[in-house]
Amino acid sequence: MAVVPRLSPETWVGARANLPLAIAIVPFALVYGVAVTESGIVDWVGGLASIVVVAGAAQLALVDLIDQGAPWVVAVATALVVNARFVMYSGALSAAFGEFPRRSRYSLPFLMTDQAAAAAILHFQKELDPTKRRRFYFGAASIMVIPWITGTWVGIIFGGGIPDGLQLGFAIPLMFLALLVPTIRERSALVAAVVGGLITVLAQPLPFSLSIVVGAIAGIIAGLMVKR
Amino acid sequence: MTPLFQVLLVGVGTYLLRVSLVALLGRVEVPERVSDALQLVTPAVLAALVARGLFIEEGGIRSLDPWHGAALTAAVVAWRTKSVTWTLIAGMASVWALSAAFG
Repeated sequence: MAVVPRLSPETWVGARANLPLAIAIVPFALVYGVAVTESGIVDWVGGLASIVVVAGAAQLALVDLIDQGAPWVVAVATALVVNARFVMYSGALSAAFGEFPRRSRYSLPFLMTDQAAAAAILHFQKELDPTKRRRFYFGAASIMVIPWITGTWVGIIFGGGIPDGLQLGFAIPLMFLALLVPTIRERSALVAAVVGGLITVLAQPLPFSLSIVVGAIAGIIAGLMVKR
Repeated sequence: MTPLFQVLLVGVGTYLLRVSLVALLGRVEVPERVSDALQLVTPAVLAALVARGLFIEEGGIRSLDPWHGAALTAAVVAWRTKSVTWTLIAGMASVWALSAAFG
């Protein structure tokens, strides 16, 4: 009768810590899946991205740019810029991960998400045992990845027949907006966002969808200037 | 380059970003300016993607339409609730309502 795999208690603690966020990711996953079906990209390639990239905002940016016919260098670079924040988490977790067995040290970062990193950084302040830390992280990360992959595939499989009247094209900028607002926690981030958005629109005549990268860099520089 | 290879490339690149400083095991100290910049990357690039989606279309500036009113509503809801789900619901409901009223 033991259908549930035997996982250590710490893994369940990690999973439970991120359960509300894991439920909240489902609508985003569905929207991404539907966006894939609406785009010119073959469905299974868009679904594969959820398994090999495992980062929603970057995947959505990539699908959107490929669909608009951006050159591959611009599409790939933009998606990687969206994911540059993982370097920050990697730094915050490096001391803890350094005490993990080699295999875990190099495999567990693959499951890293905003939510998993945030939960782990918080939990590691009071949990010092490397084995328990590793199990907690595995639980907190897995509980996010499972609904992400499942949700995108459900969106891909059932999203095809949605009528145009529902304006699903709007769901893509809306999704980016929903992810953007919570990142604005201080003035420098607000300046980075406002300048980033403004310069992107002004840079629109640039070829190859370069306006996003140009706008983002301008935003980062402006944010750094107010931060000092 | 086919979409498949672009997806694979982003997958490999993203893994390298995730593993970067873990692999270096704290042997490299990230300068403060760099970590400041990394914190600003996400708001800057997401705002760029929002701006492009809302204001640019087929080689020109998109004129004011229900999308902009709905985006404004969604931004307020995002600010107040910090919830992706509520933001999605508010945004889609607004765009349908505004389109029905003015479309």
